[in-house]
Amino acid sequence: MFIYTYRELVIITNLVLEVKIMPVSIDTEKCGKIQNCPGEGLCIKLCEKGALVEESGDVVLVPENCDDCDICIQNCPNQAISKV
Amino acid sequence: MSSIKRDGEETRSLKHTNDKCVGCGICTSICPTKSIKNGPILPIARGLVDMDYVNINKDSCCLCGLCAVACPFDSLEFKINEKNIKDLEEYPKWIKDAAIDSESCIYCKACETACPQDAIKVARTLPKRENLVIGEIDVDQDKCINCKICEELCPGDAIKVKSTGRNTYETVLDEDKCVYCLVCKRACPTDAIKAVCSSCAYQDYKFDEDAFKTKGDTILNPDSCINCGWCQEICPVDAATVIKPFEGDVTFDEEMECKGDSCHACKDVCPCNAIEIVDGKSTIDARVCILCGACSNVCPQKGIQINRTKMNLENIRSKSWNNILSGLTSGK
Repeated sequence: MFIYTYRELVIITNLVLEVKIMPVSIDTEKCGKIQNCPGEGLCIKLCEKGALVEESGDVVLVPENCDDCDICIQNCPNQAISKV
Repeated sequence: MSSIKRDGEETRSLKHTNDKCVGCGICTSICPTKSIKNGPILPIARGLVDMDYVNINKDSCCLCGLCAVACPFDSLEFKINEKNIKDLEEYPKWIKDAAIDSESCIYCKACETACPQDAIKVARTLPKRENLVIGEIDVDQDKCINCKICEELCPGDAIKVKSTGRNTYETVLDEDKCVYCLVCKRACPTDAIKAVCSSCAYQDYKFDEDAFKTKGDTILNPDSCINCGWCQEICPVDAATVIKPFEGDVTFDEEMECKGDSCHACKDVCPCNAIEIVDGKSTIDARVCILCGACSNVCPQKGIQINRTKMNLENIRSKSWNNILSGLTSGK
């Protein structure tokens, strides 16, 4: 019986199944546009791994950069980010 | 900064000073009417948002003053009829303290450098350098031939041969720079330099301790001191003594997967500089931790446990206050 961490599972699944599993997911409806965010894109500023970037006014996830630290989940003023 | 004031039989006011607050969450956890809420602590600590660490609901706050009593950072000030309850004998008193003993302090500035809150200033006066040199140099101007060998060799730029006219010159010695190394004396081709050694002249060199001593003042600002204990830990002569607000320890959940350098939220909020990320994991130096709980509040993995065993608060006369405050020491 092997016990994997969530991150290891993501990597293994990505390798074996060649599908991308998102470490976190952004609820675009709750998130809205960065210009409407009370934190003015706080998650992007908080993420030091570059896993959250701005693309034409939206927050976009770069899954391969995510280290699963959950800082974005904890601090999103719209509670738009969660674990999958 | 937020403040609440209400008039009744007494005038009561509560003022929160954000500059002193670290977002530890002690006030939010003990407020009996749940009127205090924490703001986004990590983004505030990182300077990403301009907000206060706590928000107080003016409508539901009952102005009891418990938060101000429990705040170990003095960021909440509670007054009854314009009198701070810290000065009223009926109210609890912290026995946390920090002091630097001026008798034993050697003014090395180690505490000033280490203090995470810049609460310590060392103002010192060094002894005169010439008092520390063990001899004197004298130049026989008649023997000097203006060769300037001494001037070229002097490692301290202490000796100069200056021309005073067409063919006249004078050797000038800067006693403040001379360290009595005798390079000039040995190199002088005409033996014009005389050296008087004070230790030989007096046989046994007598130390004039007062003339050698670095004097000064080490000032600890109690307003910005948070009693973290850095000064006490770093002082080489044990001149600093600190009584912390809480006793106990901090532990990490063994199952917690600390994200270390990716996250470092705990390190960013710690007011004591007690946290370092070592080998990708957070480590807390218990010697300088005051168990405020700010790190535990921001850890996204919820993996830091503050285990307080004692609160150095005395004179808690109210039974209900005692019940609430003891919640801080029975594990959070």
